[in-house]
Amino acid sequence: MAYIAMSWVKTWRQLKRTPVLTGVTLATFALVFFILGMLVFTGHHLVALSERMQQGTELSVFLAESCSLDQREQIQKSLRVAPGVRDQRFWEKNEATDRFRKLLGEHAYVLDGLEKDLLPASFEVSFSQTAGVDPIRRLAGELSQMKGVESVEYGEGWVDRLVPMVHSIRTLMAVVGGSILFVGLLIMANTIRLSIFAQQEEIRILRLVGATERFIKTPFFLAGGFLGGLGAGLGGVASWLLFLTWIPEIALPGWLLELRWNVGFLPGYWLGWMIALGVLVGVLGTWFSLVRTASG
Amino acid sequence: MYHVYLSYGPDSPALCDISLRVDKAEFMFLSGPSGAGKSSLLRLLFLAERCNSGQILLMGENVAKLGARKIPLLRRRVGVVFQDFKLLPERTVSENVAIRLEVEGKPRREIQRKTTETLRLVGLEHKASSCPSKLSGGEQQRVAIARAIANDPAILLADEPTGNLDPDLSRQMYQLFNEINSRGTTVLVASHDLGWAGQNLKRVIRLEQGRIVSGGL
Repeated sequence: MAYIAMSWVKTWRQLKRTPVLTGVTLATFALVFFILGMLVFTGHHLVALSERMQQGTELSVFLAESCSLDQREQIQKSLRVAPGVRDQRFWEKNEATDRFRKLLGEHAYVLDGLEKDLLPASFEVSFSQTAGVDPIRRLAGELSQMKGVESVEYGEGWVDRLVPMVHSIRTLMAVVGGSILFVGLLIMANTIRLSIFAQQEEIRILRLVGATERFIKTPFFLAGGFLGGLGAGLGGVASWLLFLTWIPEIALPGWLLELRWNVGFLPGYWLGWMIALGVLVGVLGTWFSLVRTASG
Repeated sequence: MYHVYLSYGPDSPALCDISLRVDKAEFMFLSGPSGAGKSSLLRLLFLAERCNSGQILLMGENVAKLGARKIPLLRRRVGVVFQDFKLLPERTVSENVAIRLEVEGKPRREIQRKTTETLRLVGLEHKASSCPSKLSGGEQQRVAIARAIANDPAILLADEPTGNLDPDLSRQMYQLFNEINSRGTTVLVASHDLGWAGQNLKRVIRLEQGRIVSGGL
């Protein structure tokens, strides 16, 4: 306990001795983790959105005005046996309009003054999570050929593009995030190396009076971990503050409203992970620097 | 030391066939012209250098073959005083002395007690809170000595400790070394200045061109 306390005293003394270097390192680390926080935030929501979109991919079969009961039953039978279909539901015209009004929420006033039975009758088909896009596409093709069907929609344009796009974005974010962390590691390594150079004479004297390598190096590791953790915490808080001031100003497009997707900040435990990652990068950067600095 | 050789390169022999014995609690001088090998010999004793061959038995241990991990432990038993003091300018006098006890992991209370006691021995208790830059050359050297003996080492090595001091101060330093020696610490001093050694009948080993010419085994 006393050893750890003494090490912290030496660490604090070391940080105070080079206030400019300490401040610049802290600010740089905060910036690194601020950028990382925004990347994680964006990635987290893109992934969540993608999953919601994929899960929520529904196929809408809009019936023609002239669709007879027999034709409707034929369509329903096809839907019942189609692979991957989890559920199907028929909406009468007035039900469809009411449903649309509810989805619009506070924007429902746009429907005021329009016909009551604005929308056609339709089948809404939902699919299991593992269905994939191909069965949906095939079913849509079959249904659009059937009598009584006016049109079939499942958002094919953007769904087909979304999956590979999100995958690419995930990969890009992993690469960018990894690069940013590597930059953070280099910054810490250089900071510690500068600190070692500034204290070379002291280190030499410590060795002469019988200090072990552990005694000499521990304050550097503590400094690296402390600066890394604190910088990561500051960066995480800064990204949260940016979220608080910026996100409420953004008007969400209608398709997001339909998905009932809520733009919240990252879960609370992410800040803990960021700080832990900051400590790890700080300690790794220190180790990297100490290994490359020759011992006397 | 038995048949110790040290060289810094093929054409730079520093010590040749050095054999000598120093008894416990002895006070001994190493003399010789510049470049004779006095500092090199002392550096071998606190493992700032490694000899190329030979044996160095220190407190029963062959330090010529000592592993790197044990070097700090050896240095805790050997105090060293340098001509240029090697004090930490940003720390106070008592903090400079306390370093030697901190590296051993001594409790804070004991560090304070021993530091005060050691500064009293060297006559600098009243300067405990001062920084080295505010001290005279003689005072700085006494701080260096205090640091070297704070943990009661078995051996005290001094490399030209009076090189930067005037004759009066030099005499005071040797008196201090004598007092430290009287407490049982073995003292080895490398110095050109042998006036005090002669007056006080101390053993002198003379080195020339890396060899012992008198006073060895």
